[in-house]
Amino acid sequence: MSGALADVRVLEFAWAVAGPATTRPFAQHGATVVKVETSNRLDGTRAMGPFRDKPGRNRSGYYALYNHGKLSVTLNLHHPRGHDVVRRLVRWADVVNENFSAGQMERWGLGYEDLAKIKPEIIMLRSSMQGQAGPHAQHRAAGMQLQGLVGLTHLTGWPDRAPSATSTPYTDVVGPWFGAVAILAAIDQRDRTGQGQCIDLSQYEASLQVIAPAIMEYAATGREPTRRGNRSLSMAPHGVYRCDGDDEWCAIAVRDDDDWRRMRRAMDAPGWTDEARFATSEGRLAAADELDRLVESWTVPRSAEEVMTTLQSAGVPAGAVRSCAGLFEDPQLAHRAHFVPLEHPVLGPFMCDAPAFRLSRTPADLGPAAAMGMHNEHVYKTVLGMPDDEYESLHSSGVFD
Amino acid sequence: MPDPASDLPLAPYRVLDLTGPPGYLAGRMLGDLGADVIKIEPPGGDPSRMTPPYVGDRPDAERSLPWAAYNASKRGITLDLKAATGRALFMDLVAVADFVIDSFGGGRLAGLGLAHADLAKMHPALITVAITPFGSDGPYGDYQATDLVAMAMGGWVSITGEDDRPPVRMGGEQAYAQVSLQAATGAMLAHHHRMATGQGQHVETSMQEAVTNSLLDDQAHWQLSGFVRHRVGTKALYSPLVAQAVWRCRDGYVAYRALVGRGAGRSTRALVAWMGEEDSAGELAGVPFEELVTYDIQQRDWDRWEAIIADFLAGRGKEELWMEGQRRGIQIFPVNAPADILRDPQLEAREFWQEFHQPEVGQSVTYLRAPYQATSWPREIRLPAPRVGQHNGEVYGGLLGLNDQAIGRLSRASVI
Repeated sequence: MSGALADVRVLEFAWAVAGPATTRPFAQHGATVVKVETSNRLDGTRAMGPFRDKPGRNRSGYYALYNHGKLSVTLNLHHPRGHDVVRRLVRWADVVNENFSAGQMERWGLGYEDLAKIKPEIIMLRSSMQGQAGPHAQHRAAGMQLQGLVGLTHLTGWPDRAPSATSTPYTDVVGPWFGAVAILAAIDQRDRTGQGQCIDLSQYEASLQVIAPAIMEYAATGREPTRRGNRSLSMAPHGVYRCDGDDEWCAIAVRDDDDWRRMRRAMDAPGWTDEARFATSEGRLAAADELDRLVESWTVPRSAEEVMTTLQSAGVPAGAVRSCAGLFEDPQLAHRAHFVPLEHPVLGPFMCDAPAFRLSRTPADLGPAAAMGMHNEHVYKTVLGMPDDEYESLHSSGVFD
Repeated sequence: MPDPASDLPLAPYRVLDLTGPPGYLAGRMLGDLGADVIKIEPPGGDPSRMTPPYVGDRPDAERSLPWAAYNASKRGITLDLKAATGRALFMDLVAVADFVIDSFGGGRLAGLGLAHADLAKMHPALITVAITPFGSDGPYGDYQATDLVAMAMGGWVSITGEDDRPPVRMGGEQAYAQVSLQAATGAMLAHHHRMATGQGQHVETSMQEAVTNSLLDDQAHWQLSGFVRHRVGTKALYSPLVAQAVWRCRDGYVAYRALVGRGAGRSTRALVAWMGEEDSAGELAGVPFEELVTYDIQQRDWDRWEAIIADFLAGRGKEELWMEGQRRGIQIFPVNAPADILRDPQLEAREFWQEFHQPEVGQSVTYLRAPYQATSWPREIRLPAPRVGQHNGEVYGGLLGLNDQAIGRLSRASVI
């Protein structure tokens, strides 16, 4: 076993995206992550498309994106003999990862106090929507709606329109990173002190972190920040400009007066760029509407690629607006080998994302997603050391359903 | 300051934080967990401190709210890395540090003789984390990026906004957030390896890839059906339908998704029941939401059903829809503005906010704490965002052992 986390063992009772996303980097770096699933209740993404050809518990691409490299076992937590198996899994694990609604693990006899009785140094990460306790802890929520609660929706879109939806449950991919870092910190502390930890992560609070300036602005000044489209408070030109073609755009961000001078040269200084008022940030910001129209008069006849390469050659930040299809053709992502083909028994070759961070000594090694229950024998017999006859007995009693 | 006896897990470790806006949050995450994060700024302060909005609306290096948000839990020193004496001091700091994080990109640190290889010669256990726009080589290795450009190149801009206008980036600066979150994760993965082996390593992070990694399921849709997600305004894709996600209500907007199928459809039925109590359900009363699958529904029927729901929601306030919705098992969430968030009783109960009285700006500033409560980790932020050079004395004197005269000389020479 190799990888930065080769000695780390995670027991995962997680579903949908937020829970599994937390341990995705762990699985990618050699940790043994055992997902406990049950036929009685499919992990959200196994039931969600997109699917290969037709729905099926082993046909979901969404599941594969977040669960590749993990082991899957099935276990019926309601079966009277299931609890003993869970206890053995907990004793094996360093970390228990869960993101059910507050109270669910307790109902299964797997709350933190229960786990700590089994293994005092266990580290538990609990990623609920709003925390394990508090007046709204029991609120049901899914990622898409949480965008509204956390203030992201309010800040997205145009000032003269209703706020735009964020298209996908972005909050599901904020909290998990906080969770991953907290787990790794807790492991360090446990290795030094023997102490376990229960980390009660709120996805709401994690998502507030990524719009903290807007919240602090209101608290400090009494002024509500509003939607700004693609505008910046300190940079102009700063926006997304139409380019030649159908729905083709390029983002441009002129950080300071130096960038502006470089952009002028790169554009072959059309006459309008001579205007003195555009020479300073203040002037450009004050004239942002007009400036945007003028910049677009330059971009519209050009492809997004040409706008990007012309400006980047001059050292000015510019980037073509990539669609998802465009990402698969992006030369830099190809250079980074960002999309890693994994051979999956049902999906066939399916590309998953390499991590954005590259560890020089212990790089990631991506493995395929597991069919449900695929590792029952391996985990129960080989890892937990369950004798064959006991395994058969539990299996025929439906404990591994 | 490193204190192995502290309850916070990263208390024994020190981070040298050379970051600009793309990397501030990475240092903050480690500082919140107890690391001694030393923010190193050029003499006179990080130019990005001059980023609005400001406390009191007065542009000033000590008043920037975006700077404050992400540089709490750090000490602050000034240092000129372009000066040879500055670099020598930096090496002295590296000798007592565990992590160095930067976001210069473009081989800047290597150009100063401060690449990983240079530092590792002296300190083989060091972990260096480089946040770059696109990676350090390749066709875009030299490209520059701000948050907007990275969001565009990483795939988020194309899927957000109104179809009769340019696509937009999401609120806030999510490329910066994601690359920081992911860089901190990479740093801690490397740290775990170091704890087992004593070996440091270099962690290079691409902001473009960080954005692409935060796209959820776009990659799966494209690969499995050739479907390319695109922007649909206040709606969202509910394959194969386009469904409302943000709805007008009496005093603003709410986030709600009408869903079908076993389980999900039950909450839609509950909403219809509520509407029925007011005779507003219309034809919805006869729709078997729990038995339907999206593929069997015509878009025009779906739009007609949603119009009925829209009328109902438009007449009610967001608080009522939220609370009464929860009572009935319906997930309707307010589209909150910051004022709403600051009043949220859940956050109050979780003790999420922390005020620091800051005499230099003449008022208290409210900060956000880290997003978790843990069994034995204190929740308090130990340090508000530092003033320019605030901890020069503590660090150059206390940590490196320089006396006051030496510190004075360095300051007068603008090395610090």
